[in-house]
Amino acid sequence: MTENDLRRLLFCDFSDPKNDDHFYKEITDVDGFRKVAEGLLAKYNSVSRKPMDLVLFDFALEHLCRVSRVLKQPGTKVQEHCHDWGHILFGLKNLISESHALLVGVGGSGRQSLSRLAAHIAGHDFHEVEHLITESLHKFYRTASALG
Amino acid sequence: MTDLNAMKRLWVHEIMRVYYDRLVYPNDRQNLLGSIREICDRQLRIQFDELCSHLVDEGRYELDDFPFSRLASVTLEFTGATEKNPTKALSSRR
Repeated sequence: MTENDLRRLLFCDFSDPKNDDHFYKEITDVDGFRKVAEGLLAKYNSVSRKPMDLVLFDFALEHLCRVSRVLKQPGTKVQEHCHDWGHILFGLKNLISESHALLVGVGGSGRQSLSRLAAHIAGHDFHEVEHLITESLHKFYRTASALG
Repeated sequence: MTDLNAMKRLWVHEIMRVYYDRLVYPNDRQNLLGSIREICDRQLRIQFDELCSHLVDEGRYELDDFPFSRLASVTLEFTGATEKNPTKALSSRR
């Protein structure tokens, strides 16, 4: 039982596409789960302006589950009260919520693609933060208040 | 939750996500796994290897990509090579 073997211990709440239960369950069949993830990717590609050509090898599935797990974490009270604005305030949630993730990897390793896919699965919008973070924040607050 | 062992595996998994993923050094990771193993044997009353036996796949050969990415960055640093000048040797310390 090595460290590598333990990487195959995965949990997620979207492993069963037919059963819409969203229970957090162990993934026992990795190859089957890969098909499910590929289906979700195909769904994303069909509605997105930037379709992604991704190979979902084992490592990618691991990270997909990790990011999805972080997205499930509860935020602060502000986020909870704004349930209907859930997807618009997603960025805000990550600024003030209890949870965040920092993905470190070489260019082209699929960090952004996997995050986009995880956000899509969770039903969130995805916004890129440009280098000038203050401008992105201004734009963000304006969007959020416009909907308020 | 199908059975008690599934719940125990969930416990292990959450520890991996909350603690293991945040660790960088192999030593720290090994220590953590040692602790998990010990607590599993002692408190959860089941051998760790038995709990996660279905994850072990003897015939599978996996390439761990962590060593590869580290190898690439170390090589570049050592030689001072860049995209524009791939054969440049590092003459001075950065």
